[in-house]
Amino acid sequence: MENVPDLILLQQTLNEVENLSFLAQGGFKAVYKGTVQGRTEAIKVVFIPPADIDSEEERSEIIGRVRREIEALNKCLSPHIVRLGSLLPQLIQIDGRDYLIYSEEFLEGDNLRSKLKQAYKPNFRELKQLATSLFEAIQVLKAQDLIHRDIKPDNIIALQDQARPFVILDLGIAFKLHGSALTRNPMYRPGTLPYMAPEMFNPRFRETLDFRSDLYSAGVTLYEYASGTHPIVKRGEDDYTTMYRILNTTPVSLASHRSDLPKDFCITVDQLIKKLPALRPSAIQTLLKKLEVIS
Amino acid sequence: MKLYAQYGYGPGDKVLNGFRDGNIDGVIFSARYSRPERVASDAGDIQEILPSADILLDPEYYASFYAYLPDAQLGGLSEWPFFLPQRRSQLETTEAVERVLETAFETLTNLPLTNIIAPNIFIPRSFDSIEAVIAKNFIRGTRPAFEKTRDGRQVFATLAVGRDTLLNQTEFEGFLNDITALDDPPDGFYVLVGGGMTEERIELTRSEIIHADVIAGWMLLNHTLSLNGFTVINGCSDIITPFLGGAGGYAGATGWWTNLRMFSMNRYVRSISGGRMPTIRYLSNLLLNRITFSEREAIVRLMPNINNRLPHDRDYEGGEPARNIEVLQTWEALAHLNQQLLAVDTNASLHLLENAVNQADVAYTGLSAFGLALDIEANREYINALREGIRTFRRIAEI
Repeated sequence: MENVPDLILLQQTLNEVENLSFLAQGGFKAVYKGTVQGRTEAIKVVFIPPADIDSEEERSEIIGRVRREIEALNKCLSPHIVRLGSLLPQLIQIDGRDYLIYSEEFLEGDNLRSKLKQAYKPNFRELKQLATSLFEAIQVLKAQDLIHRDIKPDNIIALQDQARPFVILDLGIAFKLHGSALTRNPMYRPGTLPYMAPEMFNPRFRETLDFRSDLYSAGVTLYEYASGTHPIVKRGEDDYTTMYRILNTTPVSLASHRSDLPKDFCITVDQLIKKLPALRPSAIQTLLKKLEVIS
Repeated sequence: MKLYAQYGYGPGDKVLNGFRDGNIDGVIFSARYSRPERVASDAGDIQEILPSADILLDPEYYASFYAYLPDAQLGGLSEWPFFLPQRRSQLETTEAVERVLETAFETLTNLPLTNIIAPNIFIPRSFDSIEAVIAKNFIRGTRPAFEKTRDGRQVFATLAVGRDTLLNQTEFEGFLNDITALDDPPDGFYVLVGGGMTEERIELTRSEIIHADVIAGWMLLNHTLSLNGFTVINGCSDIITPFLGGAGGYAGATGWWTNLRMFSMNRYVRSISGGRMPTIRYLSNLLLNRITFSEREAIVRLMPNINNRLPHDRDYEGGEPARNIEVLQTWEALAHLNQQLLAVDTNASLHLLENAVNQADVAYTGLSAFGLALDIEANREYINALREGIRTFRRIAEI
C-alpha cells in the first residue's frame, strides 16, 4: 500500500490498541498485529484517498468496499470465514491522510501459498478438510447472496484447530448479488487473474455471476494445493495468455498428478474447474455429502 | 438407462407387449390421447405385468397456445381441467404461471402415476425470448406449487424446446446456467427437443434432429442437469436415447408413429401433406438406423451382422411383419443398445458410442462396396452427424 502510516503515529492514534506491529501490506490495505482488550487481533488499515475532485470516485469505491466487507463479515458467521475483531470501523487521520481502521481476529498459521512455496504435499485427509471448509464457507456466503471473488491459496490460512482447519480471509472484493456496483470502471475485473472463473471475462458478467465462480476458484485452489501445480496457468506467462488459457484450456485431471488420491475426489475437483458454470456441481449440500463418503 | 414407451393414438396391446418382452421400463401417457379414467385402467394393466414400471403423463400443456387455431388437433386435451387456450401475453406474470401449475397438480396428483410431469410451454427458437422467460417461470414455480399438494412423489419440470434453441451456444449456455442453480428446484426434467410450428405445416425431417449441434446440445442438457442432481427423462428420443444416456440421461422414450419418435409442435395441427402410412422398418443396431423390410432382405445375405440377433428378428424373417410388431422390435433394439453402449462413467460410455458410430460407418462403406448404396449420401451425413455430435459434446463438456 502506498501511504502506509507511520507505526508510531498509528500507535499514538489508536489508544485502544497495544503492542502494534506491522505484518503485511497490499493494494490500499496494510495489516498490523495488535492487542485489543487483551486479545491479539489483526488491525486492518485502509488508505482512503483525499476527498478532492480527482479522487472522489476512488474514495467512494474504497469506502464502499470496506463497508461491504464489514457487513459481509458480520453476516457470514462460519468457522471457515475470518471473524471481525473488537475494533469498530473508524475513520482516522494520520499525517494529514485519511485511513479506515477496523480489526479481525488474529489467526496463527501459514497461508496455503507459503505452504506451496515449501513444496508441501498435503495428504487426502487434509485435502478433504480443505474442500469441506471451502464448500461450507461458500454455502454461507451464498446464503447471504455474496460471492467472495478472491478465493486463492494466499487467502486461506491453515490452523492447528480440528474445528477450524482452514479459514478464508479477505472479503474485500466480495460481490453482492442484487447490490449496487462499486467498481468505477465497468471493464475492470476485481480478483486475482489465475483464480478467476471464465465467466468473469464475459462483458455482462455482473448480470450472470453466481456462487459457482467461487466453486471454480475453490477447485483451482484445491487442485494447486494438492498437486503443487496450477491447473491452467503457466509460470511467467503474460496476462493475455493466462486469460486465453482460462477460457480455452482444459486442464489435465488432478489424478494424473496425484494418483494416490481417491479417484472420486479428483473427479470432483476436475468438475469444479469446468468452464461452463452449469457443468460445475451446484448443490453444495450434495457435494459435502459426496465428500464425506470418499475415503 | 431406462426406456419408456411414448404413448400415442391407438396403442392397442403394443405397450403391454413391450412390457411383457421386458424391453421397456415405463410409459409416458399422453394427455391428448388418454382421459383420466383411462390412465388409471391402463396403468393398472401395466403394473400387473411390471409392478415397478414408471408411469408418467405428459400434460402437453405446450399445445395450449395453438388451441385457438381453427385447424388445431388437440384430441382430448381440452377435457383436462388445466388445459385452457392461452395466449403468450396471458402467461407473462408469475401469478398466471402459478395458477396453471396448481390447477394441473390438483388433477395430476389424483392419478396413479409414479411421478408427476409439470406443465410448461414450448420454447420455439431462442432461449433469449419471452417464451424462454415464461418457461423458466414454469420451471421455477414447479417445486413450490407442487409442495402445496403435499404429495410425496417426485416432480419433473417440462423443458420442451425447438431444435433451433440449441444452436445458439451463448444463449443456450446462459439458460443452462440459470436452470442448474435454482433455489427450489424440481426433482428432474422431462426434456423434449423437436420442431416448432411451421407455416408449411410439414413434419420435422430426421436430419433436423440428427444434426451434430442438436445432438451435442441435447447431450449437454442431459449432462449438466444430471451433474446437478436432476433426473432427466427424454421424450421422443428414439435412436438418440443411448447417446443421451451416455451423457447422463436417466430415461429415453419412443413410440410407434413418427411423431412419437421425433417431437414436433406440428402434430397439434392438421398437416397439409397426405397421410400415407409409413413403411415398416427394422432398427439395425449395427447401422444405428432403420432400414426397410426389403433393404434388410437384400443386405442380410451379404452382411448378416446387420441383424441384431435378438428375438424380434424372427418377426422379419417370414415376410413383412404386422405394423404393431415394428415398435416392439424398436424397443428391443434400443434396450439392447442401452445395455451395450452405456458404462458407469461418461467418458467410457462416449468411447463405446464412438465405437458404435465407427462400426456403423464401416458397415455402410461395406454395403456400398457390395453395390448396395442405400441412399449413401444421406446415411454418410447421418453417421457424421452422430460422430460430430459426440465430438462437439466432448469439447463443450470438457470430457
